[in-house]
Amino acid sequence: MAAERWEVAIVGGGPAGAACAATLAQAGIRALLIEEHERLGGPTLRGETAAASPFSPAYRRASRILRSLGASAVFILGRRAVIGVEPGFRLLTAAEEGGVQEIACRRLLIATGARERFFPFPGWTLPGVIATGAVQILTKQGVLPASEFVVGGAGLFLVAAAADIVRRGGRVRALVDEGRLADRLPPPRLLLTQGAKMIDGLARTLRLLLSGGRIAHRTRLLEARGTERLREVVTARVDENGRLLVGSERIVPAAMLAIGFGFAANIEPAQLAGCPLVFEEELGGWLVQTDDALKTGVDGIYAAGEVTGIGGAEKSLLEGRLAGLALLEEMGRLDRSGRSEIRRLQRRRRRLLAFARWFNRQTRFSETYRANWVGALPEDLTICRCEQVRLGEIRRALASGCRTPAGIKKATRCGMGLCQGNTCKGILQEIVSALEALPPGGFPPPSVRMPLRPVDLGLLGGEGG
Amino acid sequence: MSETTAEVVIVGAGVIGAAIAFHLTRRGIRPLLVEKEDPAAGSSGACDGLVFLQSKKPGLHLELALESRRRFDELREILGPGIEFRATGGLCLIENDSELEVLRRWLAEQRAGGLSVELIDGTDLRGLEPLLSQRVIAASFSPLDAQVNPYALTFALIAAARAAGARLLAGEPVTGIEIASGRVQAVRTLRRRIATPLVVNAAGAHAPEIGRLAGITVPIRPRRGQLLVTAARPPMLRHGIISARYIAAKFNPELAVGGEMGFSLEQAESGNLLIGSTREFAGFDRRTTLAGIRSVARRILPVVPALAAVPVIRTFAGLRPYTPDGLPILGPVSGLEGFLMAAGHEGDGIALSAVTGELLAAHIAGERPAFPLDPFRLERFSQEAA
Ligand SMILES: Cc1cc2nc3c(=O)[nH]c(=O)nc-3n(C[C@H](O)[C@H](O)[C@H](O)COP(=O)(O)OP(=O)(O)OC[C@H]3O[C@@H](n4cnc5c(N)ncnc54)[C@H](O)[C@@H]3O)c2cc1C
Ligand SMILES: Cc1cc2nc3c(=O)[nH]c(=O)nc-3n(C[C@H](O)[C@H](O)[C@H](O)COP(=O)(O)OP(=O)(O)OC[C@H]3O[C@@H](n4cnc5c(N)ncnc54)[C@H](O)[C@@H]3O)c2cc1C
Repeated sequence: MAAERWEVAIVGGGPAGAACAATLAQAGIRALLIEEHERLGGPTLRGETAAASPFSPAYRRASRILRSLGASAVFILGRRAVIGVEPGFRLLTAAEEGGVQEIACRRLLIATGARERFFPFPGWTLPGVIATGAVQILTKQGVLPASEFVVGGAGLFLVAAAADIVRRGGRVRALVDEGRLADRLPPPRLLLTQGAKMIDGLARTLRLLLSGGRIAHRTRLLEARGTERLREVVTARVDENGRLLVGSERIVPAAMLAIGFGFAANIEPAQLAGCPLVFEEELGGWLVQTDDALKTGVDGIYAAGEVTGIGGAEKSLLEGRLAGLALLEEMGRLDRSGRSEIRRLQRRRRRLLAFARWFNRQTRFSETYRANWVGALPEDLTICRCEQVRLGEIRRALASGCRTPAGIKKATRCGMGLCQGNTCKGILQEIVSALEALPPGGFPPPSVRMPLRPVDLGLLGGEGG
Repeated sequence: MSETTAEVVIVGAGVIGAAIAFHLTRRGIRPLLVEKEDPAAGSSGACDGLVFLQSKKPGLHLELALESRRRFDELREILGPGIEFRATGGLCLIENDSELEVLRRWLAEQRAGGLSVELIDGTDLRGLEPLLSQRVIAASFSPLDAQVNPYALTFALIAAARAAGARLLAGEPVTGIEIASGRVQAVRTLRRRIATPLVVNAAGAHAPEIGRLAGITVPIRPRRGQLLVTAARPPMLRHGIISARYIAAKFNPELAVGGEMGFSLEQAESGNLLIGSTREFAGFDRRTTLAGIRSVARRILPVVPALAAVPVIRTFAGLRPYTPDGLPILGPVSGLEGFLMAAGHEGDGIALSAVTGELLAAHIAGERPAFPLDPFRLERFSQEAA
């Protein structure tokens, strides 16, 4: 593998990576597609390749692409994660079976998608509290991990997850959302351009309501309670500025609580490659900076999908295609019709970005709101599960003179554990910016180093590569 | 732009700046620490925590380290268990006969210099550390070698100094030093002017930048070291460990047989193992490289085969403040009244922090330091040149 040098390598086999690979294959370029999971499709399509929702054309298109990939001239390296990137480009990859391999390529597409964002509250680490995305993946595989749920957090994705639970025969006792109902209603211009998505959303909402599920806005997950595992959830109403309304607490019994607070882009491979980042709160926070043709700031590296702005499967598919065409153009393999398709895609992309902005705003709150939210959290709240770091220690580190999340990490060990900070590094940034009354992008992004996944020392020092 | 004053301004809140601040407050002097990022943002937060004596060159360097080690016993009393200081004893592993030969001579000199250190054979060695492979034929052992958590030490020194009246300005790079008629007048950041008669350059690998602000040339260069961190494990190792070749790479090319690099290995109190490290001149680039981290992994595996099954969760790189002669640059600078150097500890800054803090504080307080500062002054390099 080391001797070979690929014309193009693609990191991530979700809708964006797959669409790019298919575009290249059509032009006779055999790209290498590296996907950590055993199946292509990303979290959206992993469980099912058949159309999930009749109103979502993106699903159908994505599944078609995935099926075509099986037959086309793409070299797929599955169950292998990219854990390091170096200029030039050399990728360090690791797999449970087969160990560590180095891969060389001339051009690189980074399409590593997004992960869910979390916000901590007392009891969020109890067994029985799980991510909405995890529930969705399970329900798509036909598994319902409990019969009764509370779904909570912030944003529209909560409705999608709750509807999936209902579709599988589960009951959602309550859906609690930090945001305002008014913000959940799409502005007219989006209704026109993004009709299919809106109908899909409406269908899901109706399914949830018809099943008897209650949706409560401006309502907070106050506490998840239980001794060994979750037994009940305490919720409370909040005002426009994120302050708790005393006396509005409600206790809802539940075997399972699904939580989600929107998404954060998986920027780490791009960061390692030295790609400049941007902070755009309305597109999901820290992102890989790209131009109109999805070129990053590093020559030869492109980025597509959620990593350039959280926007859903349709945007990822489009960007995968666009990046594929842009790569072909760079390789001198694009004809006139291809160039005009690029321009068409660029126009459509702008409309999708408008939708994306609206979607992410649902999970973002004003500085005052966040300050009140964080201000009400108890001192003994666990922030970093791996190292058991509590909020009080973070406050003390700030009081001792630390200014940045990077300094607080050293002072408290927050983010130094086995999960490599993947859950709490975002939380730490948000908490520190709220406590210090700074804008959320007020700090540099958390630094990142190889390996992006834990890897046995024997493999790292082995002969692979 | 606000105005403030300070008795002493210390530039850099790494372990060296922190130790100086701490020792000043013990004398009733309240310094102002100015740090461009956060405490321990530089080398002191990206290194091992070996407080080693065996690795120090017999003579001045070893004397300094012995004095520092004595002071660590006191620091542990004052700062408490949070700094994770442990007198584990240290091993220097020998992998072939030529290393053994040179180490014999090295140990004789170290003993003459006052260090308690002995040679042990392979069998006794594996009694002490069962996970070491047959490849290691012998080791030298010193009961004085110890371990500490370097960033916890830095934070604890600063906390104690602040409790005694020192101030810390984090997130404020020093951008200017005002000098009039050969004397320091003030230090500038983007936000304020700090009038002061005394400034200490404790900016580690960045000390040349601070020197330039005062019009002097400081011959320090960043020497990158890349380290691996494993997941926490139950106790696997009892001692701080370095390789004999590590000493070689530092002082004596004759020891660097076969071109293989040295290594260091320790298990922190948290259970994580730290495995180091490369020695490279790569500018101020703090990224780790594929070649670097894989070479460290390849080097340690034959020595401790059991590490093969331990996951690496992180790698990082720190910049050792390298000086041409391996000794730190300490004390006043001739022709520049009020400017003091305290930087260039290369791979020994954690071990030498306690004595550095004490020497600089004593000098500032007008006491006679336990060691003469002359051999450590910046001028030694210009004399060489002349
Ligand atoms: C749990 C979850 C559920 C979602 N459900 C929906 C939904 O129902 N509808 C919707 O519109 N959107 C959903 N989304 C958003 C979804 O991410 C996008 O719609 C779309 O799938 C994004 O496509 P993508 O190709 O940009 O990224 P992804 O689909 O996220 O694909 C990225 C791929 O990269 C792989 N990868 C990441 N890092 C590495 C690495 N270092 N090495 C190798 N491979 C790597 C991942 O395994 C993944 O397969 C969901 C997101 C999540 C996290
Ligand atoms: C891989 C590795 C392993 C090591 N292992 C050991 C070991 O086991 N034992 C040991 O004793 N030593 C070890 N060392 C060496 C040790 O880390 C250093 O000698 C020591 O940390 C130096 O401390 P310092 O305070 O001088 O520098 P630093 O810790 O770098 O502190 C300098 C500070 O100055 C700040 N600064 C820079 N410019 C400005 C400015 N313009 N304004 C304000 N502030 C500024 C920086 O942000 C930084 O915080 C190791 C080093 C490395 C890289």
